[in-house]
Amino acid sequence: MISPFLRRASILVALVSGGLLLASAREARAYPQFQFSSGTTRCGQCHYSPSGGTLISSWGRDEAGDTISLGGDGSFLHGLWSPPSWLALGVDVRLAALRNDVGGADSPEVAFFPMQADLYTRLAYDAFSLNVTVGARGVVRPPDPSLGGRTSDIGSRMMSREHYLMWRPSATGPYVRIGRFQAPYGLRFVEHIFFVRANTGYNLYEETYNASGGYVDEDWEVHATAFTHIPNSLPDFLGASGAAENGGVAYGEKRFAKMAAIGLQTRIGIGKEESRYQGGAVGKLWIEKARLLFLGEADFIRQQFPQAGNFAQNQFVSYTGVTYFIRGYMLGLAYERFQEDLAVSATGRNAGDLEVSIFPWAHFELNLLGRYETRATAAPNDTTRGSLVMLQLHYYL
Amino acid sequence: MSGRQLTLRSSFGVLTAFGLLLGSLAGCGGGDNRPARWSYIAPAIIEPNCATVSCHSAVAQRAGVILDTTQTAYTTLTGRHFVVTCPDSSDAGATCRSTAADTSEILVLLRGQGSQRMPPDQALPEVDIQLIQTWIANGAQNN
Repeated sequence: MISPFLRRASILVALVSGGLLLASAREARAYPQFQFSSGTTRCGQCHYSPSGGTLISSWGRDEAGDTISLGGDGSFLHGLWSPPSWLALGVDVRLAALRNDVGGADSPEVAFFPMQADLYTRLAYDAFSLNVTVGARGVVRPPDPSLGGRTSDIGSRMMSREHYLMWRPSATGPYVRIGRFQAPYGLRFVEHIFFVRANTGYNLYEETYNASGGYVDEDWEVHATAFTHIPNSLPDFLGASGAAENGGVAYGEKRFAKMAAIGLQTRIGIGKEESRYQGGAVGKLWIEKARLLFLGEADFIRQQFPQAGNFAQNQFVSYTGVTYFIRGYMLGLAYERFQEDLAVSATGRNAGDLEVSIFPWAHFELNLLGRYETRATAAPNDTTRGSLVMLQLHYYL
Repeated sequence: MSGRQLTLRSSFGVLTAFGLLLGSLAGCGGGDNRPARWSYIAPAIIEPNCATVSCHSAVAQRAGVILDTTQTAYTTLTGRHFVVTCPDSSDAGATCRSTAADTSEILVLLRGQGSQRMPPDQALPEVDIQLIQTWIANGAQNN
């Protein structure tokens, strides 16, 4: 039974989030921290996507209310209305405040901005579904019109970074999908600034057009994807960023005793300006007694530059973290490393992250991220460090 | 010993080895022999750090600066005088090259000297900036 206050609050939040959808957006993906720790072993259990991310399923909504949050109803619209079985809807809204210090004359920078407002729609018929995500590209810093360039009005920022047709007859077993989405690879964090996302071909709006298939079982899953980059000639609504590469991606994960998993991944992207050949591994371990989840990812990337005398460099990127999770609270610590060229030690960057999430009620998350970065510098009076503190209010409908 | 305990130990061992591997790689590397050529600098340094979707991509075009391909980035940076180009040879070329790095605004922006740092979210390693500086001092050719 929902109290009148909660009902009014829910409707208000729904209206506000609908309005914010017309304001700004940034990307939401999965929370790999919830695998094993919430009692769910497969990412595709809580999400309609077989590899996790974006729109959450009815199972995921139940988990949100019963396992992750301190209370409340995780259902769409807080349970006020249930869409028919052929329709699934969702909204993600994030408001953020940050303090960013990278040195330089204007540091530290303080900003408050709508970070994400995405609408997810899934239309299903039998084993087929059409999945579409539409949102407005986020803008941390309003552009200065005196410098030229495009305006950032809401119309020009509306984009669809995901739209695909999927055949998936059941939650486990084979599936096929075709369209635009992020090909399964690595840990797939929601935080796009993490090195293992930003430097492996998975930064914001780097979703490619794909033909993908895979098989998901209780204890293992495999995904294989052929992809092509999105040309600049497409309208902004379908626009993208990232390297102009075509190629393939594969990810496989084996799970053990509902508490651990090891994944292997590879990605080959061939482009005119550069090509990348990368491979890596993922490790996950949940220790129930201590309520600790260990997550790790490491990738080697060989990058070749055909127009620069075929020069090649080897890169390394990694994430090692531990998350303490109890119902309603999540505390994470992580160390990240990215080395642009393993032959040049001074191209290395390190980052340490402290992340606190509070889930006071289903549909709500308060997230605080502190990040400290170091890099090599030889310039006098320059800084070797950077820091970011960001507070997010996340609401999903 | 139960299978569950064995699995726990095995998993812990794999993760420990994984962590040690990461630690051992933290300090790899030596001298810089990367080419000071635009065909390397653009796709290796400029595009991944500057042409992100909300900044200098073809979609956002912040401040009218588009850096998402080697050719577009070169045209934009030299056409907007962020980078001073010099002729290949001649005395005038030599004079130009001797001051080009000091007068190219891109280096001021990358080092955050007297202005907002670029990229604003994460400073580039100094060796990357020095490579761009070398390329400019060599005439900033579209090579």
